[in-house]
Amino acid sequence: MLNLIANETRKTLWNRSFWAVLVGGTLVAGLVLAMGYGRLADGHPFPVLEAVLGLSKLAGFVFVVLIGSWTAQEYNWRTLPLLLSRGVRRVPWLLSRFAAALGPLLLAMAIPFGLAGLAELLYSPEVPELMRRAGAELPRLFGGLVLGVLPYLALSVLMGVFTRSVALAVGVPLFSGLVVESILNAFWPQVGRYFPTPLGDGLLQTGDPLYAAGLAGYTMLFVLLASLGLRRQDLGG
Amino acid sequence: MLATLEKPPAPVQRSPVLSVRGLGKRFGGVVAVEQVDLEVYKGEIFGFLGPNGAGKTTTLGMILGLVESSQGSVEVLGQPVRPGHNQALRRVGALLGAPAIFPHLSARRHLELLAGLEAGVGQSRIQEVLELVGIAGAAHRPAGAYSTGMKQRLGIAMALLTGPELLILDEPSNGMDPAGMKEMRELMQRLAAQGITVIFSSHILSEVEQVCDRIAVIHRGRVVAQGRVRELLAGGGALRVRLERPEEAAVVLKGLAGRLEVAGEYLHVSGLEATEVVRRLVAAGLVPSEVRPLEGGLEQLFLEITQGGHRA
Repeated sequence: MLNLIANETRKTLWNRSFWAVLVGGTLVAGLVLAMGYGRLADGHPFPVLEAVLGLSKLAGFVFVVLIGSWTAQEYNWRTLPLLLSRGVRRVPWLLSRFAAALGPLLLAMAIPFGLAGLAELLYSPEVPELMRRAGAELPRLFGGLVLGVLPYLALSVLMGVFTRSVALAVGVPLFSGLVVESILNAFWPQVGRYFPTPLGDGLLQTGDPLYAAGLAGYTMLFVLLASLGLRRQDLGG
Repeated sequence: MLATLEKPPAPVQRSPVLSVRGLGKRFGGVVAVEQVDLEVYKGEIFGFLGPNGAGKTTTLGMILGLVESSQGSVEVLGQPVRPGHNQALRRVGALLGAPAIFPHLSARRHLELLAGLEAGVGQSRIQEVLELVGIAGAAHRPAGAYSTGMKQRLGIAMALLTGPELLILDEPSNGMDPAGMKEMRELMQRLAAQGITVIFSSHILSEVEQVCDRIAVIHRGRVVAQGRVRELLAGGGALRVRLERPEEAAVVLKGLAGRLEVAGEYLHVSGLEATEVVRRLVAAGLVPSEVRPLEGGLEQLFLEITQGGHRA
């Protein structure tokens, strides 16, 4: 299993699109935060923490898009049957793919936090050290953000496995997270609040472990469904 | 269509590297593969032939644990193989259909990825297979930019990387120039000489005729002929008898002839003299319209089997 995880990690690290997105995202986040801290240094208000959380979540979703598209492409490129025809077992492969996605996901989502910390070093003492003042809350907030993205990562893998379509593997998690849940929340909040995005927001605001359990439940459910689908899938054609 | 009424003589004192028993696959109501029996032995080059849509790829997919069978069993190197149980495939190399490649990765990276799954496969082995298939010079270029022939070579390199005991190659010389095809034939013969078993599917029948020890022909999901290439081609001194009801004729001659095969409106008979065949058939009220020695190349045999017949 460890060699499978290592192999899946290599696939990500050897993929130029991952590095392109990472570098591009870092530049954009750096630019946004530099402008924000510049405003603070000039005495204007700027919601640093909200910006960092937003950028981190955005980075997470961009990575969800990448993983979903790569999973579907493994079918189109026939590289999944290649591995399976060499004695790699299906469910361990799927779990490895998911596990291997976590490292790069954490890296991508941590970048805005790192950039904000760097900016505070550069601009200090002209600006109050907002990030540092968040102190002990930062790990909890970061953990909550990551946990909030995991159901969508699992959903993108599930869609990649079930539909073998890049468009659906990318589109369904985004459409679900950005459109469907917003509509449900607006018009039917008693149901909408049980979906991943409100659960993630609740976790960030309150730190209640019940929200974390809900997000973990969604993640495990989607991974389980993807595993069940993959187990019986015909991959010979 | 050729219906084997008598099993081909199996090589004795050897356990099969691949054993397929009663294998079948249905997609909804459509029968893709039915009652396929195959045995392939160590060091053989075994040709697996059939027209497009005959069930070759589905059968190979079931052998490689990629497609779940509806019935029957597959054993590779003595271990059962099915989608949830494919450990035996660690000793198998396969190229199934168009080569599976990550377009953005180089040939070397592909091999490094696969090497990561097996202990003891290092850079020297990677270099060795790159040179063996003739793409060492392009090993650092993204595989997406390769020609079809180069992609095939990379697919073969990936299949060979871990030193498999069984090699399954589906159309390996697809997209290769004549020199490349010759190289591929020679490579298969070298591997077989080293004791590696090769199962090889190709539409280029002259290629199959040159390299394969035995072949099986699949048509409409069933294996309709199986045996040594020379025997099938020569008919083993066989006769080709044309008559209206070849199945009935086969029943009449059963037990008298060494081998009987129905191929469309023909009956192939070995082990009996022509006069005896005619005498027996006429006595049974079955008058042949043509009796002649069975001969011709693999292409003719293939066409007879796959175009002349009915479902066996």
